[in-house]
Amino acid sequence: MSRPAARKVAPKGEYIETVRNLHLDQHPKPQDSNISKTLPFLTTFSLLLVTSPIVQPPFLIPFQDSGNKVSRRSAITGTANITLGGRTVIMADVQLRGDLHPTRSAPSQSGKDVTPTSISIGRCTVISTGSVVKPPSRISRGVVHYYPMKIGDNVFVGPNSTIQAISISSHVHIGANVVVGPFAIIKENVKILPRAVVPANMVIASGSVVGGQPARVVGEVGEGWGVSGGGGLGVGAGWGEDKWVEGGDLRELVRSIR
Amino acid sequence: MSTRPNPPQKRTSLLPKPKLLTLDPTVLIAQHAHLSGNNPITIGARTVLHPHCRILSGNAAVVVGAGCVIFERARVGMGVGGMGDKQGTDTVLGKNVVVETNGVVEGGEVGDGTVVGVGGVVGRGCVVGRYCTIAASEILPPYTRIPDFTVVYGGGQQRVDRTLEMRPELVESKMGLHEKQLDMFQRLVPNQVAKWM
Repeated sequence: MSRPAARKVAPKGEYIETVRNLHLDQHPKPQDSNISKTLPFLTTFSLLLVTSPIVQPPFLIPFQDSGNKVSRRSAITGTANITLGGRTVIMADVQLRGDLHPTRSAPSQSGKDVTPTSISIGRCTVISTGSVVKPPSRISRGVVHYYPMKIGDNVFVGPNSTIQAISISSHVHIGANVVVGPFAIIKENVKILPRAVVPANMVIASGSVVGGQPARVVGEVGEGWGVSGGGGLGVGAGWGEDKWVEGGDLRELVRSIR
Repeated sequence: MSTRPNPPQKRTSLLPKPKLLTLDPTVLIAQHAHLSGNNPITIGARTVLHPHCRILSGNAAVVVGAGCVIFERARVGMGVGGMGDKQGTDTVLGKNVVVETNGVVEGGEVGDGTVVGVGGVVGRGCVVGRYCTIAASEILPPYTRIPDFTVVYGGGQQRVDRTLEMRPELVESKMGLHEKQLDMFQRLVPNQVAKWM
């Protein structure tokens, strides 16, 4: 919407890709190095960070894995409370409201204070342009309390959607301009049609297709949901447009976004 | 990008900065909230403006009452050339109005305690009563009048929330919960109101 007019064009690509190494530089932990070796995003990135002045260091976001692509033009607040699972794409103008985090101290085994997680997103999930993801809140024991929301793997969120669900499982496809109300629970393999308004507290059973205002179950996704037509198993480096299907493995799509 | 150190005096828009901005000292304006326009903007006590919300007074004045919450990407008021007409309609939000994410209120009056849902649009010159609910993605065409306690839902259907209407104590408790919500925002959202003072 109203972007700073004076902002310079980003020198390299639009997306900041994250690499586990950077995270490790801050907090040396010699583990899982085999993961980062297998990822293709290692080469360009560390240079890119040094050169761009407008970018916050991505190690502020506690990435669990590497290869997340976060747009420079996304609006993320409360980065410390957001977890991205790896190979997840956050497109331009996406708002992640990590600052609305749970304030009640979570019981932890070790007894020390941990940063509360407000949004955790799984692997190979794509949040399209203009979407807003914010955790739901309600009154609990007389105080307003924000609840941590979880988004699973291979979830596609269409452009200009607003997500306030408490949990979205894996292989969910959400169309454009969808509103998902607070505390909705979306199970696996669900398709939400464009412009649907999922009311608050709705539980969508796995395999459903929902649409309408308010959203109702209008069908089932049926057999073959998420099974790609051919060549979807990551062969070659195509553009990815025809290599991914709704609800399927989004790895090719993620790879094609740059 | 919220934790980026503040660059020196970056203009967030080419639109004129509001000259006549009246802020209560207890207002919470998050970083990247956007207020612009040549006409007066008045914002009441304890109102919360979330990041990337827009208050535009390009065409007409905007009055936001006490205790309102304007969520991210919501737009209140009319900017320059928004509807292509010369004179705009003033926008007046009452007390404790909530405009949710992507909601739009462009000119008109919205009564106390009304909630405009996610992506809801209150058109130009609408008069919305007190304690109404405009459900998500509902669009009120310009110059609609909505009586008190009405719920607009499901593609333009309307009904009156009799329970709320008959029992003032429910209204009271609802507003009490709203106050708690405001308190929580005071705790969670960093206040950048100094920028606008």
